[in-house]
Amino acid sequence: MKTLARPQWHTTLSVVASTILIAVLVVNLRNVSSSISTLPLITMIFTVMSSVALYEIFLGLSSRKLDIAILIAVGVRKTPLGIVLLGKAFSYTSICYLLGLTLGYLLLIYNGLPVSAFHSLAVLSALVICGSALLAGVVGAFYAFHLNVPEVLRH
Amino acid sequence: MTGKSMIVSVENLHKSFKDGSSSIRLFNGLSFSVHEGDFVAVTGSSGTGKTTLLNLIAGLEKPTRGSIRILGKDLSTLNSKDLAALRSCSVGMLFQSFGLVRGLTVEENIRLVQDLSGKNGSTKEKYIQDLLEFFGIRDKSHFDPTSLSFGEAKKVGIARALAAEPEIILLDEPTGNLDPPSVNVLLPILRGLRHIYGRTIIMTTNSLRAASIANREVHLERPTIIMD
Repeated sequence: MKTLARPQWHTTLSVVASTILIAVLVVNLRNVSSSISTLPLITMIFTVMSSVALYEIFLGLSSRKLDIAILIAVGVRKTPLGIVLLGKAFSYTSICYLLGLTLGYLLLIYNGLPVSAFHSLAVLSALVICGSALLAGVVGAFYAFHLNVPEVLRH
Repeated sequence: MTGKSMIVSVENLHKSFKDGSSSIRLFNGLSFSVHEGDFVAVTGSSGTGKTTLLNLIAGLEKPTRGSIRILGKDLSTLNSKDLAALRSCSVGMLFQSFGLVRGLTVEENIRLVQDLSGKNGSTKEKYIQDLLEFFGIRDKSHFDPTSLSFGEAKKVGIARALAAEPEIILLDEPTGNLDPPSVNVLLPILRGLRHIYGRTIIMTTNSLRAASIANREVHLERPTIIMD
């Protein structure tokens, strides 16, 4: 399974890009004054993280399609494969989110901006992250379950 | 054949595919059985379903009609978990495109199958080293599969098929796309699989020379194409 869990070149790219995006969103916290104005921010974080996780999963799956087919063909069960893909989506989104959150928080402090809404948003968006990772992981696992192994091996 | 247990039994096999506006019917009720220690060559021109037959025996595809029994188990009654267990323990397979996992070394590719089978007792390390030695790939054991030649990749694929010490080995075109010197190296190895390792082998091939080392032949006829 380590070959599937191993990060690829595009992972670094997506981690850097999404970290910056999350940090930008967090810096915008200074404009958040009520729970109503938090909603668009949460939605944006969800969209960013889901996109990152889905991008990562799909790019990983398309470049690893042959390896997944080989593993299934030699007797690896599809359930553990799905769990690896789910775990991978969860790890990447968590790393991006935590890095982005830390960077954003540091920027707020460095610029002397208010951080009052930061804690509630951090908790709320952490739950959202679980949702986006789950979404990407389930999509990846579904893909692995329905992969036409003989067709992939033939090409 | 008396006294030898039946390893594979194929009965009244049919497989149909849709291809645009036509449907292709393979096998048309093919039946044969393979006993312990047999070396069967599956021959036939391109498109007759040789690879499909191996995929059906490995449980990677389902027949349209008919039954396949491996070691007494009817594949149609097995769920995906049982089929995965069958492939990891009882069936070793060489794929036409080698099927080696990139990112794992030659040795790791072989070890992967052994680990999956759970047959990893105290002698597992020696068995892997013996396989690397037998196939003459010990010096390539830490290479990435992408850096191997066609012939070397085929050897690694066959070594991996043997790693779990399966009851049956399925070889898809082991000599296909190889230059004559590589075929000269590989044919004695294939012969040795039966005599040294005592395995039951089903091999697809287009080569008369490769087919001649088998003790039985199953010839596949051209498929029936029906226009809708």
